[in-house]
Amino acid sequence: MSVQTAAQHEMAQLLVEALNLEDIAAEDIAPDEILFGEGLGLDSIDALEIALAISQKFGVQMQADDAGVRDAFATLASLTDFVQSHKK
Amino acid sequence: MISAQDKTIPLMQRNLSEGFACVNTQLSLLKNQTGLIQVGEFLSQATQLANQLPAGKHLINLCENRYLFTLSFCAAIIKGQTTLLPQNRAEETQRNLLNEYADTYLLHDSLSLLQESSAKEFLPTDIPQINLHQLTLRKDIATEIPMIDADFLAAIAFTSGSTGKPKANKKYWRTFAISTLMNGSAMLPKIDELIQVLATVPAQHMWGMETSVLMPFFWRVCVSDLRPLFPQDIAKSLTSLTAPRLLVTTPVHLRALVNSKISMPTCSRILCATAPLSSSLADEAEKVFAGDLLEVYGCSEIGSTAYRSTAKSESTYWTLIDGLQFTSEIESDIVTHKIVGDHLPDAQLLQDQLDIQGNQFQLLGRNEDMIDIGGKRGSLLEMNALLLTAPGVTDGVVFLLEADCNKNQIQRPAALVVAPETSRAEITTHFSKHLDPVFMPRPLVFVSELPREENGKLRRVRLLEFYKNLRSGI
Repeated sequence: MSVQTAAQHEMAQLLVEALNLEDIAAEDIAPDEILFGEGLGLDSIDALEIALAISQKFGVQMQADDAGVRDAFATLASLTDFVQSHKK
Repeated sequence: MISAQDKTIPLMQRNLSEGFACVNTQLSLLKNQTGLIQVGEFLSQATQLANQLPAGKHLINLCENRYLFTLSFCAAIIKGQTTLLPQNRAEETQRNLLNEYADTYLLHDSLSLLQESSAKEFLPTDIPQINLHQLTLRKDIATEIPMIDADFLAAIAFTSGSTGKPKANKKYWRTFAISTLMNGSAMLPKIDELIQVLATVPAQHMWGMETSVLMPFFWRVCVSDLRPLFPQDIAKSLTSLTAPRLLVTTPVHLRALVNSKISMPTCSRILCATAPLSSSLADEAEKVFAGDLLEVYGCSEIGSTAYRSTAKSESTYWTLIDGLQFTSEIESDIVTHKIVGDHLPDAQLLQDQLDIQGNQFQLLGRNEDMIDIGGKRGSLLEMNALLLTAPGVTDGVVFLLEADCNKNQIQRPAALVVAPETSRAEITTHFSKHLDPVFMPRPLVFVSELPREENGKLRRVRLLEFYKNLRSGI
């Protein structure tokens, strides 16, 4: 398990807060752990919550037909990279 | 005029040259034709598809694309086959259905069999199945609308039952046709133009089925095949439609839409159902869309049952949809209220406790067992039974925490688990085999024992207190 970068830690905190993942600490989410389905077991309602939190915190609007958004939701690392590269 | 007493009821009641659907997705079945599909074109496609369906009595329609779902549903009716609507897409659910309903085949639009995809959908390989992407239909226009036997069992909609065995809600063509006529009359804005509909909910669940699949069979609406999730996508999908527009959604989606601050195209009507909506959110939604919001109350047994203008109304009363009525039954001095309609096979008991005044009612309390998340209904009793059968679990409970109504947040079931030898992943896997992922307990907390009383009872008050202490101790 690799260590979170500062940006990844910030994103992990956002996930834990937005999704009320009270039983999981931000630092416990591995950067390459699969977020949806197996792994953390998130679903489409979570995706909506995450997108809302990201738009409020970083001003980045997620949209499904944007190439890359599907992949962006794969892991903590990919989500962080996506938001960093789209941040205004 | 169609009535519940009719022996046969037309498959649809529309002008064949009007719009039926707006297809935005390139579908190989339609040779990638996109844009407006006329009623006559749709009907011709459904008839052609009916001729290509395998023999069988039932089918499970797993189509994700709303247009393909509607087309297959219609083709099955023409062929005289009953559509099974499972309560979720979990592996065990489909297995159980296949065991119980002989002569069933699977119909789907999964791309994963044709191209590399990350979708890990479960499709049993040992029963006949048909992938719509492997068929093509020619362009033609139907000139006649078929008549359907009013007693034809068009669909069985399954809902989670307290016993763990799903409840089968039978939907005869009479029920679907008449309820759609009633629903349109109650829910659609009274305007002359063709209304274009976008739904953020799946077609397979009753709310989506009634509003985005059945509505165009009897009303002048044209439904988009899209099911956008993110606010930006919803804005874009709505923009692709011509006004007057109608949005079918849930409080979960509305909350995200309103909070995103993205500007939205006007919608003459917003229909919202599946969970309680606060009047403040309803009010904001009306401002964002510059249209009227109607909140709808319903259940899988009846379908849409009542409505109210949540934003404007100070009153918390719901009005029954015209055509439904309350009936009271007295048995052993206990009065129960049921709902009847000429088109319904039986009188139906509502899950919630009600205060009834004529054709209006107020919700006094929600049923403690049934919970609804994003339009999916689950039973806490079923989840509890499931938790206890997970490998290595010696004790455990799935329960609802006290809701914070003001936050409009989705309430998930929480779980306390005693399972010294079992990992979180093992329990997660066990749940995902049987239940929709939205019902995965969250948080799922491992404890050494539950706060049971000496007689073994677990009281809710003690449970909530125990949980609160547990959380504050971290």
